[in-house]
Order: sequence, then structure tokens, then C-alpha cells
Amino acid sequence: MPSPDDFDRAQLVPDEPGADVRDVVDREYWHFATPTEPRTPKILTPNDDAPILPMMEAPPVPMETQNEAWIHARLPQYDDPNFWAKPFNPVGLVCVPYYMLWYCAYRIRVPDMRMLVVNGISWQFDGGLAIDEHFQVKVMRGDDHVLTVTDMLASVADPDPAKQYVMQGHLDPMPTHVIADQNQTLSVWVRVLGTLPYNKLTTNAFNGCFRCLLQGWLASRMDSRDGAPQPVDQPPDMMREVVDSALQREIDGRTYDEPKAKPELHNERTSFTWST
Amino acid sequence: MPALGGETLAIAALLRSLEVMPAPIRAPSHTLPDYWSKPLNQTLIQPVPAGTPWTDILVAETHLGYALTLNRYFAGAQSPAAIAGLEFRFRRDNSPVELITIDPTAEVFRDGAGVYPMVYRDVFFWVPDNQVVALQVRNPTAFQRTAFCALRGWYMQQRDSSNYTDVAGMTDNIREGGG
Repeated sequence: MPSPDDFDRAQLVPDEPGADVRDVVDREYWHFATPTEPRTPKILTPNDDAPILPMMEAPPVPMETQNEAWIHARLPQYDDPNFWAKPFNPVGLVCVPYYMLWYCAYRIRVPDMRMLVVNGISWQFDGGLAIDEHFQVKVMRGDDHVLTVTDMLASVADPDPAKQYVMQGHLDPMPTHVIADQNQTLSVWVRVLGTLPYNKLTTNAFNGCFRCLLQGWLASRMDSRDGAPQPVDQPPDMMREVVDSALQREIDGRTYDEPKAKPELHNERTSFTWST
Repeated sequence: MPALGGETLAIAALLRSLEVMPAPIRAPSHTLPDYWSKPLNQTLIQPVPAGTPWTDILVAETHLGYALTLNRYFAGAQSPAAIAGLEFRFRRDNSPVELITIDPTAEVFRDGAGVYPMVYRDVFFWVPDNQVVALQVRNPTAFQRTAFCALRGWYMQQRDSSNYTDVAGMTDNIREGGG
């Protein structure tokens, strides 16, 4: 290994006239470096430093303020619950001692200034029901029959009762849209039919329990802006009770612009013509 | 500057009123059920004898003055569909609905063979009260099969929703042409 003392200073003699010995030291020290050329500044023409812009159209300008309007839209409460709605997720339970008889599993009277909207129902039996046995579930609004559904215990391969019935399960409630207005009574009934053909009698014991789960909301019929008692989701003449059993009467009796004047009692009497 | 006419002032007043009030907006009755709607939930568990030709198995009930929006259904068999061999189709009035094909060889209404509950599929029927929509079944096999069927939707008043007085005119309830 060469020693620094063996350095031959004679090699550091500048080989160019006017050069310093330090230039030679630099050249020898940086002999491995790539020689570079001095950078020359680029002379810009007037177009070289122009920004790149699309040349299609002018940039957009904001809309004039007087053309804007904000509308605070809200859906009616029979479609969506609002701030004042209350959740409605009850469970009804009834024991069914006999076949072929209706039993009421759940009943509610809708409170004042509320409107009940049920959008899903599911049910199960807590024992008693055998495979392939049919049963019916009906929903009543007061004395009006809203819907009746026939279901069956189809399989117990899955121990989850939500996956044993044909028409619904607790994970997939039967979709529906039942509305009960204030002071109306909504009830859920069940009747066990047995297997086909339905040859069970009302004296045949069943000994099972039925459980139904409802989901929906209790909408407020108050004005949703200030809470004043001004029902807003229905036109004024629609504020009476819902009666499904009188469909034709609704059609004939509905006049929105000009309500029919009720005839006076004596006019009604004098209008009769007896053909005796 | 053009003079402000009565219409311009009326529109300005309307815009001003809309700015300060929450406007109740409801979907057309054939899109979402409304306050006056009546639910339709029809289900059927019915044995279909061997060799049954095309037969109505579930007819959507109609009420005078009420149109029906049918938006979900299922049609299957107790056995796996590919084995059961039952075939289903929809009928509107006197002709089958060609655009709806219910595949009899696939489990399209269940998560798997023997898995319950049945799964609804979306469909869209708007049925005025002078039409009939029914689900038909046939059993070309030599064995009796049990069919599971369900229809879901709602009835809507078949009248003009703008003034509640007439069934004709500009409305979201189309009186004719439901097919």
C-alpha cells in the first residue's frame, strides 16, 4: 500500500501555462468524475413561457343569484318518517291452543295525532307447528280486512327460525304498506290450518305459540314545521278515517273542489215518491 | 328592460314562497304507495297435479276504481325448481306476458335448494281495474308438485291526482295504456 510520503510532487507540475498547481490537484482528485459542460441559460421567446390553456371556450362564470331557489323538499310521512316520527317495532305473542280458530297476536290503538305505517311483518311459531303445516296470518284495521297471508313451515334443516318459513323470515320481513290512522285499531291474527287437505276441526288441539314482529313508524300528523296541530300530509277532506271496505263509497263521495252540500232533512223526505 | 307581466310576477311570488317553505313532494302513486293506497299481499301454497296445462294459480285481485301496482313476486316449488319441473308465466288479460321469462331450470327465487324463505324479485305491472294480471302454472311432469307463489304491491286510486275529481287528463295515474 503506497504511503502518503511516497507522493511524487513532481507530478503536480502544471502542464498548461498559467495553471495553478491546485488545478492539477483537483483534476487528479476528481479523476473519476464525468466532465460536465457549463450550463448556458436558455433564451426564451415570448411564446415559450405562456401557460398551456384549452382553447375551446371561456371559463365558466357563476350563476346569477336571482335565478337560484332552494326548495326544502320533504316526503310525506306515509313514505318516510320525519323528525317527529316514533319507531314502531313491537312483538306480538299469542298461544294457539286449537286449530282453525283465529287468535289475536297483537293489537294497537293508534294514539291521537299519530298515523301508524307498517312496512314489514315477520313471524314464527315457538313450537307446535310441524313440517308442511299451513297457517294464515291476517292484518285487520278495525273491522276491515287489510290482508291475509298463507304461510307454511317448510324446513327445519336450518335451526334459525328466520329461515324455516316459505313467505318470510325475520331477516326478510314480508314487505307491505299498511296505514292505520289515529284512533284506529290495528291487529294481527293467526289461524293454524294444518296440512293439506285441511281436515282439522276447531276441537283439535294445537298447543303452539305464535310470535309476530312488526316494523314501521308512528308518524306525527302535526305540522312538521312548527308542530302546530295542522295536518299537512293529507288534503283537508282526506282527514277522515281510512275505510277499505267502502271503496266504491270513497270513489263516489270524493269531491275535492266543491264538497257536495248535504240535503236538508225535509227535502230528503219530500223527495221520496212511493209507488203504492 | 321589459315590463314585468302578470306571469312573471306570479312566478316570482311562487319562487319566493318556495324559498321560505318546505314543499311537500310526493312520488307518483304508481312509484310509491300513498296515504290512500291499499296493500296487496297475496300468497299461495298449492299442489299442482301432474299434467296440469297452463292454469291461473294466483290472480291479482282488482277493485273497482283502484289500479294495482305489482312490484314484487316470486313463483317456485317446494322441491328444487330444477327437479320440480313446474313452469310459471304471467298473463295479462288474455295473452301471456312475453317479456317476463321465469326460468324453470334455475333457483331464481331462493338462495339455494331447500333454503327459505323465498326471495322476492322485482317486476313492474300497472293494472287498471278493467284488466287482469295472473300468475299461471303448468306441470308437464308426471308427479304432483307444490307451488309457492306470492304477489306484492299496492292499490292506488285510479283518478287524477291533481284535482281528485276526474280520472282523465294529465295525471300520474294513467287511465289507459297500462299494458
